[in-house]
Parts: sequence; structure tokens; C-alpha cells
Amino acid sequence: MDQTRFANEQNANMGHEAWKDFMENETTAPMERTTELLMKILEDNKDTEYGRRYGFADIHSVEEYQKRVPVVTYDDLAEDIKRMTEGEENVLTAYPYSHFNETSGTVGVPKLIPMSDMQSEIFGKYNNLIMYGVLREYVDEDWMNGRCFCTSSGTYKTLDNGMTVGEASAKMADYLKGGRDELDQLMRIMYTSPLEGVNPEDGVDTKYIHTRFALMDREVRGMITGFYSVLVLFLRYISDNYKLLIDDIEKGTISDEIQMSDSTRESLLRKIEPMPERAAELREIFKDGADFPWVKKVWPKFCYLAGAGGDGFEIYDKMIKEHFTGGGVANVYSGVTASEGLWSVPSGVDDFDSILAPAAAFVEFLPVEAGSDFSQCVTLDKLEVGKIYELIITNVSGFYRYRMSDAVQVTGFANKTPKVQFVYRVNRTINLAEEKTTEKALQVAVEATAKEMGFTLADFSVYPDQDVIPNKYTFLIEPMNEITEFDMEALQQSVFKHLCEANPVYYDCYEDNWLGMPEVHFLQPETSLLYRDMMVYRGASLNQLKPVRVIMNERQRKFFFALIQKVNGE
Amino acid sequence: MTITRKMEGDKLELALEGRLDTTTAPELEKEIADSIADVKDLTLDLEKLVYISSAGLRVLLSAQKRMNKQGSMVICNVSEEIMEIFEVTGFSDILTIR
Repeated sequence: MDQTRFANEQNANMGHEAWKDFMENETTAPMERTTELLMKILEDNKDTEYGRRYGFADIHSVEEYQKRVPVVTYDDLAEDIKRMTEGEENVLTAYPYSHFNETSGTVGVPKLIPMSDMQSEIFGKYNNLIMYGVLREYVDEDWMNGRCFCTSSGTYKTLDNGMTVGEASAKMADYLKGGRDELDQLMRIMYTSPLEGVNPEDGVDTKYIHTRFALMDREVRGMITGFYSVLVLFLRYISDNYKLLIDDIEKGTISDEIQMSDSTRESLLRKIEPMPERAAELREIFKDGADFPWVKKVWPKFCYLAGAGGDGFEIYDKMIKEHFTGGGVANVYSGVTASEGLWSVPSGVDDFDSILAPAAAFVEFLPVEAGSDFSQCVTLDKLEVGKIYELIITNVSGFYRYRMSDAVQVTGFANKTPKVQFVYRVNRTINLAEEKTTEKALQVAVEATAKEMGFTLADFSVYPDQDVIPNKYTFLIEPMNEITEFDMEALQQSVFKHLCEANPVYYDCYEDNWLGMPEVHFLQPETSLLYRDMMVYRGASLNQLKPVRVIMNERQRKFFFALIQKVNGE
Repeated sequence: MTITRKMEGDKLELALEGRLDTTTAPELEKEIADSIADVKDLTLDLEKLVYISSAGLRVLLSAQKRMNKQGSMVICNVSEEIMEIFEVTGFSDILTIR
């Protein structure tokens, strides 16, 4: 048996055990499991500064916990976290930790989120293993016979006291006796990318490295990512650069135009050799360009995609099917997860629902209509199907009743455990006149408009304009191809109609003159790609970047408005 | 778009004329890719550039990233209209503009 099959099978079996354990022991008694977790967290942390402040030692029930411990946001914890980064112990948590995740910070200053060793194990079990378990359970076993095209790249920096800040996954080499070389060898058994792409040096063109090594391997079975929007970036990179990539594959070279240090280049060149036959095969596939679903020609046995998709990412989902895979590929949509922890796991393939993970975190649920009335928080046994709740989490890294601002809708049950779908970020709902338009509603409206008006949608952003009376939404819609002539009035009417269908309250507000007719513009093609390029240039992680659905700040507003496409000569 | 190329030792000057948009951006991308290997000083003269789109900006950003590693890149003779685009998109903080 070859190494890839062996490693995938091992992971599949361990994942399957984890999946079975989760289904049999967690989903059947979720309230017991999550209460056990909470009580353990309180007991273990009763002597921390935070634990003493709120009397963890005297709390023996969920109700007491809710009475004694306040709901907090990052700002409430910022000073404590700063002290933790300076090496102070027992501030928020008694659990060992040596790492802080850095959030992408698309608004304001990036946040540092402590990650305990226990949290790291939770991510490993519920994120990675269960994904393998789902693949084994639902996808033809041939997926085990090939490697996975990985898009992940992460780095970290070490503070004076030895603590690290950045992406936790980037630290894996530190835990292996053989360091980076050993990790590289282990990773490449299951993933196409070498370590130079996964843990890159500063300024390295990781898109090239990931795509180059994936294209070299005809036997790739799937692709894994943080967000589905990132999958599109990588697939588009191949569509735009296949000639260069194929030339390099043929000659066993790395083009001089690819940015990387001499040491990275030398190291990579040791891992490649000329592949004229593979290059010829790829050249034949792309002989008429890349404007067709090419994935299954390039990798004939490609069968799965995994990452955060579904709600909020449906545009990319659709784009991947239409432009790259042509369908017939299983999607494992990861559950609701963030730097602060993980709240749910996939419930199968091609299913946007995920199942709450009661032993991964203690989660309370605040009905969104309750606003900031935290007395209305409920536990998972009180959730109602169809209702939308904001998540208030308690994790194993020192966050107690932390307001996540993520809203989920309850969609059903797996055994006794609720299934949910992520629906929106609470603070990214547009609410100019109590209309509460979600990102999902905006997406539905724009997709329906694109369909009705006959153009291919690449992306979109919406600016809630409060500088005019009545307030209005400005839609900035990015088509795949440049549009210079268009019936903009019909476009505006279409957006308005579909927006009112997606959120009927908008129409009521329009009728009462609280909200105006939306303004609609086309953006220049590649604007969203440019925005991501800019953010990455400024240090953001490509894998953490979410699309800008609602324009939240002046910098974003100026950026997107500057790149409006002139249409009909105006 | 017309690209006029002037190479002197390890200095390369590319003068752009016309529109740098979705259609023409790949031309500039290729020109830079083909000529930049041993370049230490890259100058892009935009005096006759009348328009730049998102696709064009992506090429400039990519060139800047490359030149950060191997030398320097300067943009010169920028018209008022294009300067405004650089300013509002944040490019004026990234590029060296003279």
C-alpha cells in the first residue's frame, strides 16, 4: 500500500472513530456533555484572577453561571490578554498556552486570541479528524488514493518571552524531532504543497507554490481551504497563469518572475524535476484556454472540496461548479468555527447544516431579537427550529460568556443535538431603519438580479449610506467581465425588487420614506481580487480574508467607490 | 495600450500610453515578467496613461511586491486623475510616486 493511501486510511479510520464517538456520545446527550465541560472549565479555572473575580468556585449550575458571570466582548478582555502576552500566568486561564491566534482585523486593530493546548486539541479533533470521518462515511473510498491540494499558508512571530502570535498551524514543525524537514515529508504524503508554501518566508508567492505542486500531481483527489472564496482565488490563479505554470512544470524550473527568496527557490528546486509528459497533458487540456470547467480534466479523479462554504459563500460555491469543477464533487462544509473556538461540525456532504459540538465549547444562544438583553440567553436544549440566535461562548482558552457576534439559524436535530447554519455576523447586518437586512438577504437579491439581467456575478459589496435622506443602500456589483453598456435603470429596479423579496421590511421602510431606492453601480472586474491582494500585501492572511459584503469603514468605502465601472459613457 | 521600453544596465523604464485595463493589463504583466529578472531600478512612466482599472492596479501591486525584494520601483509623471485613484485606493501609501 502506498504511503498516501496508508496515511489517508489511518486518518479516515481515526476520523471515523471520532465521528462515531461524537454521534453516539455527544449528540445523544448534548446538554449533559456541555454542562460537564462548563463545570470542568469552572473548576479548573477557579483560582485564576478572572475565576476569583466572578467566584467560579461557588458556581455549580448553568443558571448560577449565567447570574454571576457577565457577557463580555474583546474590549473587556483586551487588558487581560495584553498581560497574558507579557507572560503573566493565571489571568484568564489556568490551562497551559503558548500561542495567540491573530484575527484578520478587517475592521480596526487585529485581535489576539489566546489558544490553550487543550483548544488546539479540540481543533484537531473536531476540525481535522471529523472532516476525514465525514469523507470516509460519505465519499467513495477512492479519495484515499490521492493527495489533497492544500491552499493553507501561515506564519507566526515569537515574542520576547517565547510566546507566539500568528497562525497556530504554522507551529507544527516545532513539535517534531526532525523539524521542518520531517514536517515537509509528512505533509507531502497527504498534501501536494511543500512546507515552503504552507509555512512560507515573508514575501513568498504562495499561490504559485500551491498551484504548481498541485498541477504536477495528476492523482489529486480534493482541495482543502479556510473559506470557499479562497478556493476561487487559487483556481483563478491557475486559469490566469497556466502557461507559465506548465512551462515551469515541463522544464523543472521556477520562473524568475515568481517572487521568493533565493533560499526558498533553491529549496523548492530540490523538490522538482522536469515533467515533460505531465506538461504536454496539461497543455493539451488548456489548448483552447481555461474558460471551461477544467478541474476534472486536470485531475481526473478529483472528488471533494472541504472548507467553510455554504451560507455567505454561495456565490463562490456556484462559481466553482460553473467555471471550474462542472459539478460531481462532494463538498464538506466545515462547521461554525473561528479563532476563538469551534462550535459545530459538518453533518455530511453537500449539506450546509452543521451539528453543534457540545463538548468542544459551552455555548449559550441569544435570540437576535433580544438585542443585548442577555437575560434571554438559552442553552442548546431550549433552541427552536427556524429561530436565529447569536452565539455567546465559553471556551478552554480563557473566554467566559464571550459575545461572538455570529448568528446561526437552527435547522433541525441530529439525535438530540441541534443542527445550525451560520447566517450572518450580527454587527454586519444593515440596520438603517430597523429593517435588519442580513448579508444573506443581500446575496440572494444580487444573485437573483444577476440571473434576471443576464450577467455573470463575480462578487459584490453594499454600502449603507447614511449621508442622504432618506438613507439608502448602494450596491457595488462586480461582474466577471467588463460591462460598459447596460440598462442601469432596469438593473436598479431588479435589485430593488429582489431586495424587497429577500427582506420585505425594506419595502415597508421604502413606502414610509425611511429608506430610499437603492443606488446600483458595477465595479470594475478584479476589484475584489485587488482588495484581497492589498490586504495580503499589508500583512493579512489570505486564508482568513472574508469577502467584504457590507462596507464597514471609510477606507473600504473609498476603495470600492474609486473602482466603480463607468457605464454608458458616464 | 502602448508600452515603450528603455533598458540601461540594471535600470528599466517602461512608459505606458493609453488605457491600463482588463484587456491590456496582461500585456504589461507579461512585459514586466519578461524583462524584470536582473532589474534593480524599475521606473513606470505614466505621463501618457489616461486610465487605470482594478486589473491594472493588480499588476502594479504585483510588480511592487517583486521589486521590494530585488530593488526599487518608482512611478513618475502621474496625472491628477490617476493620482486620485492611487490616493483613494491606498496605493499612494504603497508605491513610490514622483
